Amino acid sequence: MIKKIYRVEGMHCPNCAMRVESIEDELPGIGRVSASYQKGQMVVEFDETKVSEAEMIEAVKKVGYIVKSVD
Amino acid sequence: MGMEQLILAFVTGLTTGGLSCMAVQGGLLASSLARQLEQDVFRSSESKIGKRMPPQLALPIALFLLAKLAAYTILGFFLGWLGSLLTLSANLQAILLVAIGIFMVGNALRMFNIHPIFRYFVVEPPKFITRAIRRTSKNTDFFTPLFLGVLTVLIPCGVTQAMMAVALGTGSAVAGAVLMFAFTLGTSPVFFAAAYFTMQLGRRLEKWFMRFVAVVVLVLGLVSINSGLNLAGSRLAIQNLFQVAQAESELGAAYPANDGTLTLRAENNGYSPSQLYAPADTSLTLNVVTSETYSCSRAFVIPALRVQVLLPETGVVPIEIPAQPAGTVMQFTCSMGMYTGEIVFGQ
Repeated sequence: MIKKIYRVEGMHCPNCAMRVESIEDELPGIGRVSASYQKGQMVVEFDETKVSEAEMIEAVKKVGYIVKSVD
Repeated sequence: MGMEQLILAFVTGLTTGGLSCMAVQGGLLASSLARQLEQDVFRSSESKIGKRMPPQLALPIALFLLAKLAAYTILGFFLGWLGSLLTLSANLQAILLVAIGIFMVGNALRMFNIHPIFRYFVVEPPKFITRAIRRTSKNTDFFTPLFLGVLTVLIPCGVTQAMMAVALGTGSAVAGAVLMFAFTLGTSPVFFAAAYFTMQLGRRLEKWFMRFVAVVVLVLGLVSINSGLNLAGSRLAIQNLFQVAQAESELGAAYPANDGTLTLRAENNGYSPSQLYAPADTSLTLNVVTSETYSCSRAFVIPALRVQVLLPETGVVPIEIPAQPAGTVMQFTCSMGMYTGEIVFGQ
């Protein structure tokens, strides 16, 4: 498992952060997603052999938010 | 405690309590609904179907009121049990009102998207709670209305405070809980109807609606800060600034009677006269008169003297005012800072 921080755009309230975190239920290989509306970012723990960054970014897009940059 | 007292508590809530509480606690409910509306408006704007879904207002209002009902029932339990704690001190309530006002103004600025710093004004529930909520109920935000409903316990309106005093007087945890339950249940229909129809009407404003809600939250926040300033006896409160400007031309101003007493009427819509004149360097008695008064003007506060009295619905309560130097302006207010007035000490 590795841990990465991503900037997320389009969150309007803490409930948006909850929706971003819901990708941990959707994709295999994701350990934990911790999104913050206040910081406008998400911290993801994931297994690179099971899920790619592109798949994660797409999953976040599906729930309505844009992963703008990777820190 | 008899059934009559419970029915009276319920009817008091249903009539004066609901509107009085809405005026004081409506801001917290508006903040709660604002969150729900933000989600709904955003969700429908991203929907490819193109149909606007009606915001789910009934559920958050119901959750808010349920949390409020539970919180006040528990409060009634403790009040009846302790039997000694009367009300929050005026100073603490003033600080709470200002703090809640700043919280609301910050939230309004966040909704206007003025600067990301205002995102810190929103209450982010702990991660273990959001995780639990997400897994049990997807897409529904239960936390905010529940949390804010519980918070109303910190800003009881005048009528609620009166009922809290009655709960204290029961001297029984169960009786206190049942009394507060009956009263808060009584306030709920008016609270629900006022909140629901206000928000439904606002929905028609379509794309401007979020800004409309932000403006409402902003105004309620400023009102809350102003009430806190009033309660603290600050000259910066709007009413006090206004009173200074019209001080000399006040028609309803009153002077002491021959026996050195001043009379102030606490009425349902405020204090009359709002300005009293008294001689300097002489102690006097202020008789506060109520006559079928049910509003929060019954919770009478003189911040400078740390006087905090719950007036009877009908009666006269004398308050001793020590001698004051010439030029002193002594503020008085209801415990929520909604109604105010002052005593001016002259030669």
